[in-house]
Amino acid sequence: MEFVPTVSAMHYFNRITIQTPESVELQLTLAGIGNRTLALFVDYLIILATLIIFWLLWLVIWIFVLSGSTEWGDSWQDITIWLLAVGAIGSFVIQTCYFVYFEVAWQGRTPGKRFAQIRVIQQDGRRVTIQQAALRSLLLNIDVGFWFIGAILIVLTRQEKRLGDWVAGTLVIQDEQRAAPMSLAVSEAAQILAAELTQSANLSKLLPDDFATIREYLQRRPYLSAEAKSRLNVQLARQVRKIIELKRVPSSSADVFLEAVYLAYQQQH
Amino acid sequence: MTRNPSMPEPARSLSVGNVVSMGIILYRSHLKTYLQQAMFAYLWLLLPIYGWAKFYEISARISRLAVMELMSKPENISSAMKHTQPKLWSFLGIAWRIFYRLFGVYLLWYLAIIILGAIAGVLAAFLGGLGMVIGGVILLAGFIGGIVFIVRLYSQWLIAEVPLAVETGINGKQSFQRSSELSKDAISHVQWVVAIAFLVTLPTIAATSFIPFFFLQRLEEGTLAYTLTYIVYLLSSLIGGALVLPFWQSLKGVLYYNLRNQREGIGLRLR
Repeated sequence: MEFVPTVSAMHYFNRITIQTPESVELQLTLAGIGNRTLALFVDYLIILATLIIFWLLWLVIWIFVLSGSTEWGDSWQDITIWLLAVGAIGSFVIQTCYFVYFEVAWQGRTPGKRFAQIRVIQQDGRRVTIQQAALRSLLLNIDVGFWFIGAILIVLTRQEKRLGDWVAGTLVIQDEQRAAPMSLAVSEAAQILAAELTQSANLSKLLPDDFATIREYLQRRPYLSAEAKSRLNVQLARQVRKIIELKRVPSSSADVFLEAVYLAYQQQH
Repeated sequence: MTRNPSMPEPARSLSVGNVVSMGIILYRSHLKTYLQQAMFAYLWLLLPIYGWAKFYEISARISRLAVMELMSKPENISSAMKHTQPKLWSFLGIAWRIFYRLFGVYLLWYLAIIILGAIAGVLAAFLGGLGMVIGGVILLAGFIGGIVFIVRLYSQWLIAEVPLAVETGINGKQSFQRSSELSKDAISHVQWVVAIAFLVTLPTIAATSFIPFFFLQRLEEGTLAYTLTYIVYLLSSLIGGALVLPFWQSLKGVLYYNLRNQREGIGLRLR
């Protein structure tokens, strides 16, 4: 059965149109439950690691305090309780400040959100304020602790707002797909051929969409299966040759040829 | 060099989080159909052998529906069934292949834990407090290592039944191998999907299984209250399973689609 390509599955995702203060209309894709769960999971792992270190330090301090004072006697229990309280407060502060710090300092991204390629913004597209980040962080405890009500709200509401988002007036969106990094691995042979092509071929016939497809092929080829790759590059090379009206068949491989076209086009634009 | 906005973007690879979200999205848009079938599947489980085969066939059917939807060739239940029903016993075969492999691994893991436990005990005996700590760490490492290894294996065979349900001209064994073949270059991706999907199902599973189980523990065996609670626990777990099955199956469909797209790059063409 033929595997038929379709449009990107991304059109299934919830979108939102926001008006920035400069009256620019932005269409953004909301993060979705999968990305947000992923981000939270990673964030919790980091917080856990931090807390482990924190409590190890606490242990050291506890031992130090108790051993350095033999006259405490029976009241060592009171000291322990007191230190535990400080430790508990410290844990809570670490956990809360983690989210507040990163969401403000990294423009709406905690390490977990960065990993999941999502970020928090205000309703009008601006960066989150410290008050909003604080509200979100405090309410996270309820969103997760109160039977994952946050997750349920994200799945069921149109704007995917958990309690924290609702109260703070924030949204969590997917980072826009950036333009591909320009540093694609291209061979030397391609660079030589590129110079030649600029003279011998009609590169102006190549449309921006064609270039994008070639670039996408070059980016994705490491992940393609061998047979798919050999089928695709021959097919693409043949089509490109026709488009740029290259009469002479280049002796290089299809891959090198495509790299050369990519470079040559890039140089001209 | 901006893309022509009226030309649709070729199907790009979905990220881990987006694969999981797609599983939910597809489930939600076909809630009634998928859930109905899942309920039937779980009822079939009560009948030995034939019922179990039906369970796997229906599960695979749900995955097929998800894949066809993504390929813009949506099917209804009866057309999907025409493809999956003939291969009924092959689906059971695939499940069996996974089962005995995982069973073997679990057994080895269990033995490994025992051996490590013995080592930990010896260390504790000879090195006292320090030995206990080292032994504890080794045991923990073995335990976690086992979990990671099992998740990796499970990830490799996660979509074993989907090729059989979707493609023509392959049998159960080839479908099973196809799953490994498709996943092997993206095994981390699949593992993360499994981990996150599991977390997403946690609230439901916790509500339908853990809570009744918790109440069960508080009661005396043999009493009426216990028996009633046990029945509630069984029913609740069944419902929980039926609620969660369509999500896993549509997730497998999304994953299959995503992996094939990544490997075969069908979306790439000029003009």
